Amino acid sequence: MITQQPNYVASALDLDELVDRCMGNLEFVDRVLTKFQQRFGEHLDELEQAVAQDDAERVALLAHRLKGESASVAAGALRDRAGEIEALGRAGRIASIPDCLQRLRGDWARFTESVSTLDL
Amino acid sequence: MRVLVVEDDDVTAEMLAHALRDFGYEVEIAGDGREAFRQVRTGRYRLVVSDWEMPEMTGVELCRQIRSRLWSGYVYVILLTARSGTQNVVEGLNAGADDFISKPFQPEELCVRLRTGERILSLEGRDLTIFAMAKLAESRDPETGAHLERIREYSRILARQLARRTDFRDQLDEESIQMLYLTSPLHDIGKVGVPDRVLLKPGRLTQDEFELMKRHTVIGGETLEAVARAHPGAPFLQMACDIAWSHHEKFDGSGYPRGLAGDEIPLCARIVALADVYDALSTKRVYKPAYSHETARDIILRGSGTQFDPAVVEAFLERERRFITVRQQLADCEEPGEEHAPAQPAVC
Repeated sequence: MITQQPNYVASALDLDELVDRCMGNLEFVDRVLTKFQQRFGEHLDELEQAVAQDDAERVALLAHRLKGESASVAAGALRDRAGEIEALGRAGRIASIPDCLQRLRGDWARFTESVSTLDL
Repeated sequence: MRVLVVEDDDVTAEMLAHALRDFGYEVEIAGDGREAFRQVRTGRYRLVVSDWEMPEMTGVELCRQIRSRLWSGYVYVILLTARSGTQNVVEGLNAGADDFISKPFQPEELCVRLRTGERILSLEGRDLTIFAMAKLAESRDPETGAHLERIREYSRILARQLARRTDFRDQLDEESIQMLYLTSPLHDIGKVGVPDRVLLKPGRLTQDEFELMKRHTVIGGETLEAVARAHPGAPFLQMACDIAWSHHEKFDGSGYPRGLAGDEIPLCARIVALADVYDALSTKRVYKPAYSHETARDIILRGSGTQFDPAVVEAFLERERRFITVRQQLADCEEPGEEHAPAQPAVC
């Protein structure tokens, strides 16, 4: 365990896994989290637009990207939720996506709040 | 060593690059498959780590593109994927991927996979040394250009086609085909022992000179045989030896130096024999112009069962479009002029 983290952070982000993936470099962890938050926010907006346009193929592609980047930074809840949306997009079940998207927004808010309390 | 990371997600790309730099690699990032292919074409990369799913060009398609071209050295491709299951693995391998890393990546796994790739690429160093030896021997003859490069490609095409047949499958697995690719350029290595006045003579050889020229099979065969005896653990030397000895044998027993016939001639030599003659026919030599593919094809067909193994000729006919492609891709600087085909092949 490199960094002690409160439980509410642990549920949103596996910091140990992220630190391992960043080769123990906490400065780099900080940089990755900053970039991730910027990119995830942009991609989430794009995903909402694709859902509004009923573009299932683009929904699946964008959700896949969100899933991948979340997995890389060890954000398990975001990864799983993005994975659900990707599966719905691939199945063409666009009507079921808005509810899931709302839950993703909730997970995202919890993630950013958790990250803001980290002291790297 | 340089690694090209191909990843459209720039967060993951940056993390991969950071880990790889930490392991001592030089890293460049390409944001999609098309950009990656452009980068690979610069010849600066032998190791590629690519995401599977990307817009525009997927990692699998990138693999296919890389494998569809001839490169100066092997490009080792590792696919990053969250996919599992045999079908996906088969799809990746079929496209030409060498290995897989599961997403999200684990640094230790990443390092191990890359080191494996490096080890495999280092074997290519041995292959290049062998090729350099062949090139050195060939360098005395200024006319042959990319002859050796074409010979090994033609030989591999023929071997892969023959491997589809039940009667050859046991003799030709991918390992032996690779060995043929490696050793076929050594077929004429014995020419180092042929005097310049014969080897470089621009006109027709006298009977005595031709006898001296024929000695290149014996000189090459005996040299490689001695090396093979000293290194019995290197099976490619035995194959190189068989090729050097027997690539001028003819299927009907009228060839040289030993007059072997049919299956007495090692299969690798029967394959190289056709590859060598096709190349001699389809490129310009001091004693003849470059013949068109069609003319070369007709001459080879006429030699089926006499000069060549009919099965090898069949394989040639089945894959002649690939021959044309290789001939074009590895053409020497001078374009082929038009031919006047002789009644009999002018190739000894």
